[in-house]
Amino acid sequence: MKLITTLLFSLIAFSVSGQDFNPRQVVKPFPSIQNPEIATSDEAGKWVIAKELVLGVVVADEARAYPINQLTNPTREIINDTLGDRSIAATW
Amino acid sequence: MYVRSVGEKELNFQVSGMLWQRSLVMRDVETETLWSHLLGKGMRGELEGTELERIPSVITTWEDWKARYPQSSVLAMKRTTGGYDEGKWEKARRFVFGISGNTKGESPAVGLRKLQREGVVMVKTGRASYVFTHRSRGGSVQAFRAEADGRPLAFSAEENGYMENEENGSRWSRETGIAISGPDKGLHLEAVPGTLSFVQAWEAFYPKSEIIQ
Repeated sequence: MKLITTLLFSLIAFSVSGQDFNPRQVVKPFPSIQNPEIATSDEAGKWVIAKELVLGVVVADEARAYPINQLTNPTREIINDTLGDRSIAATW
Repeated sequence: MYVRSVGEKELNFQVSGMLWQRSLVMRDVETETLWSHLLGKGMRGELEGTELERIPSVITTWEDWKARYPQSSVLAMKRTTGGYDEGKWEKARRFVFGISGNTKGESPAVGLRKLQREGVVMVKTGRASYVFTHRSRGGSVQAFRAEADGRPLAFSAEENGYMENEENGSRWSRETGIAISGPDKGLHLEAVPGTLSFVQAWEAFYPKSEIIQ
């Protein structure tokens, strides 16, 4: 009975969400990135290239750019950061 | 771009090493909940069902971003690749810009190629109206609610990265959503958080989404 109830419940949950969450472990987890090193615009001008793509965000009048070339690797998909007065997860 | 606090709790996300629908699954260190990266939603664990707040962000070139925000700070980690420059969007057919969260449960998306060609695309869903914009300088894409002061607005592209609303001919920036001249001068549109995504990924995660190509 319990099994049937569980099955029924999963079916209902599935039809409501329309998407069954069935993730697959592909590689081992990577440690979270916290308090990343941040440079000023002038400093960054020495090594960020003009045509390089950045993910830009503004919080409470504070702007920050995350060069996509630094975010592109399974170890770097998410940067836990703080900007303005907010805790943000920079990812795209 | 997400806010990583839920209620009183501050979360730190890590790459879980899992994939779901070929896409990243995040895990927060504090509660070990698994989160869909694209949906921004807790899928399994203590915070299952919770949706993260999104913040509007933009992808553009460094030179364009620096021109907009000269005082901007910059992430200073070692590069992991060199492949992302403005040439990345040449294969525009593969990408859509989609919005979700703060959209009354809807998730409309517009093909990047259409945005590149037209500059300004109006999107009417069942519940709201949006304007999607593209700037050739930097190649950035954004979406705004197509209303100001409680009035619905209909936009068309103008030269030099501007757009005009049909109702009174005011001129607006496609970048900031601020009216710079005309009767609506000084008003601003509300930006809606969105993301550039592969077409197939958007379709998989938002099966009900209408994609305008």
